[in-house]
Amino acid sequence: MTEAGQPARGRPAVVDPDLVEAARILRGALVRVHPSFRFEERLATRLGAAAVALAPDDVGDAHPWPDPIPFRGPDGFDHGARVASPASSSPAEGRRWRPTVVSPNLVRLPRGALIGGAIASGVSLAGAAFLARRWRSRPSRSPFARAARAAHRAASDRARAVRGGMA
Amino acid sequence: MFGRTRTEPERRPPGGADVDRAAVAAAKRHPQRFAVLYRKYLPQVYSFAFYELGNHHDAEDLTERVFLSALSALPRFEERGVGASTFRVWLFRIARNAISNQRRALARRREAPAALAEHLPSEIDPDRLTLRNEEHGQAWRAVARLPADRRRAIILRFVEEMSTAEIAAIMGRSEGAVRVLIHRALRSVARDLGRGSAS
Repeated sequence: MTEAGQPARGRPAVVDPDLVEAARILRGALVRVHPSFRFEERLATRLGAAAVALAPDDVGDAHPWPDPIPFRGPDGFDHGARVASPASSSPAEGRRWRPTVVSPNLVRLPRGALIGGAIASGVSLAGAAFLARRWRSRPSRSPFARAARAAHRAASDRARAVRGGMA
Repeated sequence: MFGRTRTEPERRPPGGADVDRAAVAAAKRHPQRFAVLYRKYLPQVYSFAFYELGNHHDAEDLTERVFLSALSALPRFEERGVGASTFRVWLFRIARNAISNQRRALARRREAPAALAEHLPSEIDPDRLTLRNEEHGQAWRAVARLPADRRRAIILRFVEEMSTAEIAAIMGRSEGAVRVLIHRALRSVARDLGRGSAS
């Protein structure tokens, strides 16, 4: 056998068992090392931004980046405006990447989510006030609480009487 | 776009070049599709960088530069023939060049003799990698002591499971030269493990 592991001409290939054993150990020892998830995602984000900068115009139209806030136009369709590339400072890049919102069709934006949230918020406030009132008017089961309320009421009556006398 | 598509690292099946070809063509048309190639080859490139440079910080730095370079240079990539000019070989050639540059930069920055760069992989701490037993630790140390070209050939063969043709294309050597490198590396490792006679 030659040094390069090739069988000499005319002889059967005989592999050195020590080398076979070394290869077996290396196969088990040399495992693939995986990067951290954090690094993987950070680099993915960076590559995504670089890919945006590299994408040609028609590609961007065919595959718009998903907008975190989709806009619904008067025609009822979502007009997802693409996120502007960070590298869009030059005029050429600016032509390639439109700013986020600009279409005149999108002036009157329905804001269902916000209105719904306001209604929900108002209902919550009204409910909280109703419950507080009920809790306040209900006689307490605790004698200590009842005594405290009676003392508070008496103090209030006294103060009201004093204010009336002074007037 | 670059969202996580799978969680388990994937061992590359032989003959996966056809899948790469479609992914590369898609990424050339739509750079956002590069995500598929990124997810597939990230563990491989990172492993290669880690074994070559010896620590996670430098490996991350290098991996980032390799993928950014690959993304920007992808339109110029052309697959010619089979085996030796696949996307994987091309990517690893970028990694190899980046490693060479990084080693030179490290040697300058640390104001140490260039020979220090040859010993960087010895910084790999076998204990931190939860090796299963002492035998594996000895194997790590034996690989770390190899000359750079033999170590690179061994890593590409055993970690990345590459063919001789692929390794030759990445290292810029003939297939015969790669066989010699691997053979000598195995002999050195066997000697260090106490399983071979000194050559």
